[in-house]
Amino acid sequence: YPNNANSTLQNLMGDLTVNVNSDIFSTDTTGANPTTTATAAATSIAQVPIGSVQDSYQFVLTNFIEMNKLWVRLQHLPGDAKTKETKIRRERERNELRMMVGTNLVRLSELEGVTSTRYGTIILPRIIDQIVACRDPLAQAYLMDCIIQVFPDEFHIQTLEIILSVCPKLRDKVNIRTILQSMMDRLANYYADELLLNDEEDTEGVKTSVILDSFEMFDECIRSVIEARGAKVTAKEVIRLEASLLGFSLKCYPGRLDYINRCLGVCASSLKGHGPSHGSTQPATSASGAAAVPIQMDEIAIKELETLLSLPLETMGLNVLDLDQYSELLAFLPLRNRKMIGVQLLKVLDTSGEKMTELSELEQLFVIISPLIRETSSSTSESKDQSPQMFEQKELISKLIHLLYNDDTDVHFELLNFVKKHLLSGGEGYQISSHTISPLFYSTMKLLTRVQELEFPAPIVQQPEEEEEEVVVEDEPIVEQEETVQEGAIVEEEEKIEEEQLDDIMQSNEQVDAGQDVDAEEDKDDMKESEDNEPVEDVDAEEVKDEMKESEDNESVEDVDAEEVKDEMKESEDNEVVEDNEQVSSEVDGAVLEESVEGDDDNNQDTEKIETSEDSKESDNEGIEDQETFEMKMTSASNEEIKADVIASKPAEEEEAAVVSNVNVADNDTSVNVNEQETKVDLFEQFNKGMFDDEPITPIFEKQTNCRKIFLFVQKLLSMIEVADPDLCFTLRLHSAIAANRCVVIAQERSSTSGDLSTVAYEFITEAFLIYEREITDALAQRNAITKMIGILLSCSCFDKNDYEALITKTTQYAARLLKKTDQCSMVLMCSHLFFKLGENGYQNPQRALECLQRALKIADMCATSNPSNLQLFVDIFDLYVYFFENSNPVITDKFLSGLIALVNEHITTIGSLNSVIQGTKESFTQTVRYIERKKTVDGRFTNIVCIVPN
Amino acid sequence: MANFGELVLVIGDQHIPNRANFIPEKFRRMLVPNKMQHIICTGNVGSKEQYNELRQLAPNVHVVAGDCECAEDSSQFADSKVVQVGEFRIGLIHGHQVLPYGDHVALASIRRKLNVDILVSGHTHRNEVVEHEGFYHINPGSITGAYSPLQENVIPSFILLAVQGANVVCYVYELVDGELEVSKTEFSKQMSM
Repeated sequence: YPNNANSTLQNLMGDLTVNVNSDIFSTDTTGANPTTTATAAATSIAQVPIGSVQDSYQFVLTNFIEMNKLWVRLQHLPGDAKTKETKIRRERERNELRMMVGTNLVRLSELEGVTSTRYGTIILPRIIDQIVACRDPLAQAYLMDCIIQVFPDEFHIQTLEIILSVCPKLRDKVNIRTILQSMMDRLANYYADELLLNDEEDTEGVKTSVILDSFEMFDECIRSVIEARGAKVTAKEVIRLEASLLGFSLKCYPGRLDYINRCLGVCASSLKGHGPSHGSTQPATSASGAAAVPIQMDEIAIKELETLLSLPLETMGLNVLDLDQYSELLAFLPLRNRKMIGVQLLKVLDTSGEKMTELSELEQLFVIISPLIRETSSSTSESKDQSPQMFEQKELISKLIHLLYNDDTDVHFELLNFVKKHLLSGGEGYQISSHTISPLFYSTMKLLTRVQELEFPAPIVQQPEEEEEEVVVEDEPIVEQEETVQEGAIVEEEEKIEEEQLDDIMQSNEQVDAGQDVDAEEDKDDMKESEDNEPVEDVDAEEVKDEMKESEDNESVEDVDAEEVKDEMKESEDNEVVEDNEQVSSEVDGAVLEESVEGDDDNNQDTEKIETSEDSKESDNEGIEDQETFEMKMTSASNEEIKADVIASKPAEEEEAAVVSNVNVADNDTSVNVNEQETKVDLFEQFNKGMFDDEPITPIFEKQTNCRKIFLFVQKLLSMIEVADPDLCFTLRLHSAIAANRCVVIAQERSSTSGDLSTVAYEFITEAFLIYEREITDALAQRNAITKMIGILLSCSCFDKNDYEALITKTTQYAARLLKKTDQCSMVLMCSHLFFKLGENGYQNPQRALECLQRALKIADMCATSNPSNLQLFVDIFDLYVYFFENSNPVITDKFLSGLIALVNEHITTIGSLNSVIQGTKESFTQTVRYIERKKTVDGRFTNIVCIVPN
Repeated sequence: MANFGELVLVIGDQHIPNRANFIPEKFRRMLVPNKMQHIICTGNVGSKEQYNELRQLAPNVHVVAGDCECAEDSSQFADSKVVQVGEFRIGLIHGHQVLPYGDHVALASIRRKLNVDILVSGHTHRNEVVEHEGFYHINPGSITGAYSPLQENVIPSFILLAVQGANVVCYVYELVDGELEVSKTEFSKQMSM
């Protein structure tokens, strides 16, 4: 029975379509000559213009309306059971028939002579009335889509408001988004085409301007739809709608931040459960629905929101940070999705290569990317599964760090500080730390090169007076300002205080260095202090002493602070240091020097150490003895020199130390503060004096961030990865040392004072040594580490003789204690460089260099007997002998070379059968011998060397 | 199109992403696939991606281990290598093992040890083409201009060798203040003595 009805209906509709078809056909023919035939017809029969355009669309419209009615009625055929199945079945049947209804609209669009006005005023309203009136979701969705697809863009532009005004009236089931989306797509494409052609005349200019208003209409439409549907609208629906609009906005109105903001705003407010904030009409809807409850987001909604938030990234990049609601919306996403957004943002940043210059920008950015830092550290189990992703994230963060830049070094430093704070706040985020700290470190080092230029500028003759005065006066206020600015950062505060103290110490140090204008009173104090055993009379001096002891005994004293004071004092306090051995050796700084001093005072301890380290590997008896004596020689030799030097330099250093401790007192004691002030005034006068003398004056360093501060920063940074990644920490500390060395060198070149940056360099190296001792255990890593030590030490020129000797002695000891004999050999060999530095003022102790070579030779001999392939060691040693000979090491004579050539030849003949390794060795040896032969012709020094080329 | 013979790209010390973000755009445009037969890299590439990019540029990629390789790469590369191109034996070493850094007498001893005509080394981030005792020491510098504690104001640079039999033309590409500068050196293989 229902089937019957269906078929009859189909017949009926078929008839109608045939009618329409024939009718269209006729209009089409007339339309071929629209101006002549159609208008002629229109004028001749004014009232009922049969065959005219009007007649045609009237007919098609009626046809459409009737057909639609039938089509809708089909859903509710009498006699149908009201079950779900029937409903679905009917819908399926109707879906098959929809083309027939839609064809009417196609016909309408195909009618020639229908102007946009006619379409807008007559045709469209009638269609829309029918659509609204039928109240059938299927029909509504389909017909809306039809309208959008079949009529031309120009019509849509003019009637956009009408079409959009229907949307809120449609049934809830109708998917508004697809309707709007297809409309937006059409408009956007049209707009893009127009822009591309760019030959629009005035009329089309109007059209594009209409397009420009369309955002408002869409926005209005979406708001009213959301409002009309009230609580029934789901989160994903809202997000999808806004995402479409956002996409449209980005396509057509790039740069209109307010539009994007509005899209995000609607999302945010509806997710919060307030519905679109829309003025007076709002209360009504929110009262009816459960307004205060935030809309629950399901998986799809989350996905949609992620898509929505990624949309602006592509085109806007960093500018999303300017969007008010962006981070707010981001908070709705779970961590995993926020991470994705973060990654996308960083990728965009990376490709754009745009510099990050402002702290505020960076702060906002970190709000977005913070999940990248945090989650990776918290869920280590998960991180293993996603290691490629993790790696990508780290790399992106690394790249971000390199994008930080500000012309003002202070601001730049703040940026870096901010990043550091965040990277370290990742909790037990050591994994991420070691990967991101490296770029942060190098970025800081880059900044250092700029700061050192400012701090130790090339001298400029003639400097305006006023500027200088101001600078000196402003010195204090700037520091205070800084304090207030950074007060909010709790993490920083502690550091801050330390830094300030350090600055003070530095300052007064510099003052003394520059001015040599120590107060008479202070001088007196110093005198008293240096005579340690005499009864103390002055109260001040007593205080000073107390202060010193406190800082020594009290372990709770801040690390850096203690280090600082220590460093200044350590030389002058040699005796004390030895007495308080336990405490001091637990301190990080100056360990090397102290140890060597220790060795001087009580050799027992040192030998003990050696013995214990040797006990474990008793297999090689010969070696142990050898090694011990060698080491003893090394330490005692250097210690003698140190001793002599320490005595020589004692008075001067004591004075310095005393001044430092004085300043320390000044920090705590206000009465002494006056002294400091006075010194400052003196200094001020000196500046003036300098000016009147018309001497070249270097521009005053005005920045708050000085090299010292940067090194402090680096120090902290590196201590964070000490345990997690000792190898990296080791390398970076060495690099810091060499950077500090550069500062000193530059300062010296420009005859300005670098403060105690050479001490900083020394500290970095000793700390690196400590890591080596404690953490680096792998044989290959040790070998690499020692190679780096030697290379860095060779490149550092800022150390005085004592410090340098202490460091190179230690390095040589490390080399001699390596587990593998072959490693021992090549590393000790390498150490010989340390004792014979080339260039002006290079440290040279030719005898000790020779000792290294001879030591290496002995080890090589042992190695060669166990495995002939180790012959290469001899050749390497030989090469180095040649190197020193060429560089005129006085104790290395041609006899050594002749002897070695003979020795290697002997080895080659005794080995007899040559495997490929030995063959290679032989070749390289031959090369060197040939080289010497060549040298004989040009350099007389070589003539006496007996060259034997192996056959 | 002139015949350049075999083209050898000599680069190194990229340090991506630890010290630099990318190879400068002006360089990147020049580094197109299928032009060069060899890439000789002094190490410190920085990351696996960078290494893979090199491998896409030329069929033969030779890399040695630098002092700052990331952990997963360190075992992958040898300390030194010898590559035969045309009649030249080209030795390759990163250079942090050559002490003092960048010292030509020291480099010469490595060159003899490897028995090569040209020794390529990096580490100093300063490009050099130096004749030493009739042989050549080449340092491509850092192509990214990466920071080095040894060197202020690192100039991004790389080197291209056009090898034809016993002759080589050596082009040094530098980016000075964002401007590309090219210098050229020609030399021939030293007759064996």
